[in-house]
Amino acid sequence: MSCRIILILLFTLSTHLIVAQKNPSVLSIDAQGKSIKEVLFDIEERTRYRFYFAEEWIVDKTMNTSFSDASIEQILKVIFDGTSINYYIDSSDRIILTQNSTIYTNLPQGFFRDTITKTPQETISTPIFIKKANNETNERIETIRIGRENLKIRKQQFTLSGFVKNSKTGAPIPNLTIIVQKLSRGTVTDSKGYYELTLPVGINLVEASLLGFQNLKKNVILYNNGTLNLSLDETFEELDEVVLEVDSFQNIEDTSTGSSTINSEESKNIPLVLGERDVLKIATTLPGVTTAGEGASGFNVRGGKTDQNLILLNDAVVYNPSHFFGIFQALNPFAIKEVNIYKGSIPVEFGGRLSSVFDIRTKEPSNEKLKAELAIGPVTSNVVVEIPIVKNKAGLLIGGRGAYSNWILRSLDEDNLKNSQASFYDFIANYSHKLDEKNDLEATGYYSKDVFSITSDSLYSYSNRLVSLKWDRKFNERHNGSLSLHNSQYKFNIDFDGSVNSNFSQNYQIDETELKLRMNYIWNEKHKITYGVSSKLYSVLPGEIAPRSASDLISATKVPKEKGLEAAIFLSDDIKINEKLQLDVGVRYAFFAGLGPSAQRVYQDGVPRSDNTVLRTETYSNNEVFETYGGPEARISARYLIRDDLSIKASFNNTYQFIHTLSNNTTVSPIDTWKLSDSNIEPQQASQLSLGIYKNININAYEFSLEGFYKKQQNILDFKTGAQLLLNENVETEVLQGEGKSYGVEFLVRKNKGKLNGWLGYTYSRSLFKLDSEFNEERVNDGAFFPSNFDKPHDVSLVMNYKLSQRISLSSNFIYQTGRPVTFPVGNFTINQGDFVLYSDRNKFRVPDYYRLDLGINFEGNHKKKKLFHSFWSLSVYNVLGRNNPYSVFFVTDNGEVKALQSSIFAVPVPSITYNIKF
Amino acid sequence: MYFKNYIRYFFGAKMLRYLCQLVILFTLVSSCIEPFEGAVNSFEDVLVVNATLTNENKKQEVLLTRSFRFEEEVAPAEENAEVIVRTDNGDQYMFEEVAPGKYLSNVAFAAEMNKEYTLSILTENGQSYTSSSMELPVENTSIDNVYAERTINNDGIEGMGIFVDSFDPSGNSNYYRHEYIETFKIIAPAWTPFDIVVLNEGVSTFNTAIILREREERTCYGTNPSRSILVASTLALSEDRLTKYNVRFIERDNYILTHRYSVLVRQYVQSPEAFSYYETLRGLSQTSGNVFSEDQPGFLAGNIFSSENPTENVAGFFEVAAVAQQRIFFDYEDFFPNEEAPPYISDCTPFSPSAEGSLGERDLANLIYADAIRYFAPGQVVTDRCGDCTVLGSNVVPDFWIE
Repeated sequence: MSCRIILILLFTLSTHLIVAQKNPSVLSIDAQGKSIKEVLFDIEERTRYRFYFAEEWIVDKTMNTSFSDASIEQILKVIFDGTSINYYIDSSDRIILTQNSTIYTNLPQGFFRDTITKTPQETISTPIFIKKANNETNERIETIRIGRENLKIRKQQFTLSGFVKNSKTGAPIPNLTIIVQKLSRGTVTDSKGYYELTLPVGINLVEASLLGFQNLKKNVILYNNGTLNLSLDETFEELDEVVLEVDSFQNIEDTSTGSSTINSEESKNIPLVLGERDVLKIATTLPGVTTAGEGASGFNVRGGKTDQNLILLNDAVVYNPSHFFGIFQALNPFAIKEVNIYKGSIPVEFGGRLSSVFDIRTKEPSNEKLKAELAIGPVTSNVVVEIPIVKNKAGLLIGGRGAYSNWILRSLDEDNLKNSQASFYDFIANYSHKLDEKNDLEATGYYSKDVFSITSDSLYSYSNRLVSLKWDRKFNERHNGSLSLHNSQYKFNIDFDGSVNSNFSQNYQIDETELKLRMNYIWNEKHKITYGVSSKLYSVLPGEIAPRSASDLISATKVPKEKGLEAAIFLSDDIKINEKLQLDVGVRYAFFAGLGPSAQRVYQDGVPRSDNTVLRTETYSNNEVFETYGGPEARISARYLIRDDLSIKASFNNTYQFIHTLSNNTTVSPIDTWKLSDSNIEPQQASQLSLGIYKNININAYEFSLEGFYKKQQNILDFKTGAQLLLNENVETEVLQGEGKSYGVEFLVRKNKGKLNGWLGYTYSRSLFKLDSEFNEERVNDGAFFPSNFDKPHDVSLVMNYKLSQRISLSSNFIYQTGRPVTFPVGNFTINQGDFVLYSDRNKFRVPDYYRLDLGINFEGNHKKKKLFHSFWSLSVYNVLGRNNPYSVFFVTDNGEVKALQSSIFAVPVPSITYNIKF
Repeated sequence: MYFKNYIRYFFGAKMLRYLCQLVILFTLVSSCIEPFEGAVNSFEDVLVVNATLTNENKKQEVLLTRSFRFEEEVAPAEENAEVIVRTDNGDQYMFEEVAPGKYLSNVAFAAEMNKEYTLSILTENGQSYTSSSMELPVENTSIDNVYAERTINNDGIEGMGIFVDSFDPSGNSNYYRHEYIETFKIIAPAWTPFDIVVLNEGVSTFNTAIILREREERTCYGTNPSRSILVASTLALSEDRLTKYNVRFIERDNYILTHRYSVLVRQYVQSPEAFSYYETLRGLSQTSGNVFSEDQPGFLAGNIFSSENPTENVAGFFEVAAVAQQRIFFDYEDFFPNEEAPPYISDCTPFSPSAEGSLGERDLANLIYADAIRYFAPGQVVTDRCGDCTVLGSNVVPDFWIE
């Protein structure tokens, strides 16, 4: 992997630019009693002029004049009268203020080779350049003789030394290049301005140059060792724009396919429902990542199921990253720095899920000064505070977020809602400490909880909890590593108290603890090695149900605890074969052991698994290994650079997954449970081949990528129709394990710069499953491949952001997707006097296509630096077109009558407004 | 599986409605469940078998119908089929079509323990179908008590609940299905002894006559069978006991409660396979389509398969079940003494349709021809159901009826 920093300096060399929208030639400003700064902001607000200055230069001077129909120059002249500020107005209406020095529009001749000719000179009033240097054609170079000719000396080489100073201040000029071009010989002045240069006898054209100083040329006729002291005049350059681009070619040069990064801060302008910034929602606008619809949590990545994504927050797994059934992300947007998404080649250090890795990173807390961000939205509010603990060494970030829907619900008149509750909150804390040059420590804690009740007699809640500790250590320049320990927990609880004798309380809980060592070793320029080992212990309490009182007939049931150990050892080598070809070859050995205590059923062969076909039950004692699975995983990718801005890449991956959700839903539901592989449920497997071509044009202003993939999956979990999964101790009797295949082409064009930026993604992909068996009840659609629930062949997203001014930006988000497959009724039939729906083959039909346009406008408060806080308003309208996108189409039998209904979550435009404050 | 049904229920339609309400609340937008507008234009014609062999000694019944289109009301009968039930010891029971699609065994017989029963069907067009072999799960079953109580349902609505208590000390029953048939007395509130008929009608003439009614049209008995699937399992309970199992809830303003009400509850003890079929069928039809626990719909195969084409879909189930039944009666006064009676099924305010106009445009004449009104008073009529109870029920007192 290579990173490059490209510094682009663009110079404005001409003032003849035609500005499309002219500023008013005269202005009237009431400056009475205002400070200089206020007047400047006033001008900014009323004109297209923009001021650039350092705040400390501006003295606190109160104006006592008003301007009427004055030109900008007149106004500025008055404002800065008696101060040390000079101003310069450039061609694009930028006003650059400088202290003491004047800005000249022109660089000295030859400062850059390609700017020598045709330099307009009309704006220079009092040039301090040496006249000679200003005119190339009539250039006269002073000749200096050094030493006396001494015929006795036969030496051909002499030493020229001297001291160079700033002609204006007299200060020495270090780092000045002094060269004799003809001889390709040169030196640089030391920190005190001294130099020494060995030159041949005779005439030498000595040139001195340094950015910020005028070039100097002297003909030196050298007769002997001698001294030449030089004094240089300062020159000035106007840097139109200095753009620091880190990793601007990363998309081209990276060896990995199918990876993207979403920055939380940058995503703030994208309009989203209910005004919440949400990196995970934005992820779904990227090619290859889809969700079943609004109100659906979980992602389908390249034809994979929702349980096949590894969602990590600072390395620890988040089991349910959503609040309120998927409408909000369960992560505080202000605490999140970015999310890296790997859907093609998954780095060798990650494993355990088939489809993707969402590597979410929190912001590194500021260790310099106190910072805070606060947002107030229609449903939620959130706050993040960054506190320096040890100056420049340690900082703490604390974030909290909550919904105040409970309060709204209680204040309602409607009885139905009055007795219900819905609330959520989450907390996050991150502590980072730079112990010394070589050691960093990081600790993260996170907790999220949702509580809701639908009727007064039931209460549902679910929560995520995680802790992550990481120690980064740099052993030497070439060897570094990190040791981390994480623990994650997800649980849900259902309390039901509203019936005569069947009240109950039910729980589910999963815990995992992982220890991971990851090392990087730069062997040499060509080999960068990553290696490590990780081990994870799972503990699942699949469910417990208990009667709430003695009169309840529910017998206390407890599905026994499950334990499992997942471990991996990994090694990869990033090999730079030559400038063009780079390979990343990795291998990971994934291993899983099911641990006792456990009772595993052995079923008869050749008949469907059911309670009646159990041969025997094997029991295992605590920590006894009852089943192991495992295998090597390849993580291979290659990149070939055709040109600097054009590359092709290919990758091959295979993965194992030992933990599965039990859900017969399309979407993630809070009561979905996770189940470990055991004797009867084999691990899921996938292998994926991808191939892509990447091209940047216009100095990386546009990034294009085209990727294709083909993925095969084995042992994917599906369930018999109407399966009972909750609290089912023998869930293998309901499980069908089948094959999956998906393939597709993803196109993405991204514009990163300019007033208009954003991206356009288009994906054509298919996702198919096959559930075949010799038994009728275990076969779906006659054992042929059928479209999965999330097979959406066409998927277009267009995200655009237009910067109207420094403070106002417009944004839009357009999504089009083929409607997802559904199983439709194909008629009615009558059983026991009731009419029921006859369903088609699975997923034979599709719901209508999905499309949605969201618009947003963002206002930033003014950019005064000394303001107490910066504020940011964001106004957005979700689903502007009011498209009624059916989430699902379903049929109910109501009193013997069949009705076709469709449900949609946001069927009309949803406006929202959010106010953000940043200290 | 008692509690699982609750979970299903709460993550069912109710959940979706709740989410809708919250979304509406937060966003001030309107409803999010509405009739589906897209066209569903594919129709699959399949054989539907409705057959429950019981341990009652009677002529057993098999109903054969076909699936039908949404716009159609009634399932077409599968007529002229050859229906046979065979046992593993060689007995054969031939069935005879007594009404379109309704087949009764030629002889009365009761399903017995430890015999395997198989249903065979040969349709008129030569297709043959066979069921898996099924056994009677328990020798017999009994209902401890069927009773009515004034209650409030989960939606907070007051009304009458019909409950069942049942207990099998042997613990072998476990899978229950219930059906009921309710019968209720209807008294037409605007009944008079008279009827209005058209005497003559011409271009310029229109005369009606008032005549005496010839049959009982004041007091009738309405009957409704249960149309939903009522299944319950006691497997998760500590005893094989159903306590206060709610088979029927009638809102207190339902007119059927007004006078006297009777309900016959039939309890079937099913095989696990039959229970699972009915339970899945119920899950697919009654709570599907919600956001959070959408059942994966699909064709639900029963235990009847085509002999020629194994991929042909056949709906329905051939089950062998033990049955018990119990009937109760109650009056509205028993539970709602001195309280206002439920309103009648429709508004019975008399009205006066116009007898004027040209031929074919006289409202009164048209309403009489359509049999939509009954005479009330000179110049006044009421809608048919207000003056004639036979529109809603039968004027014959049922055999079982006890006042």
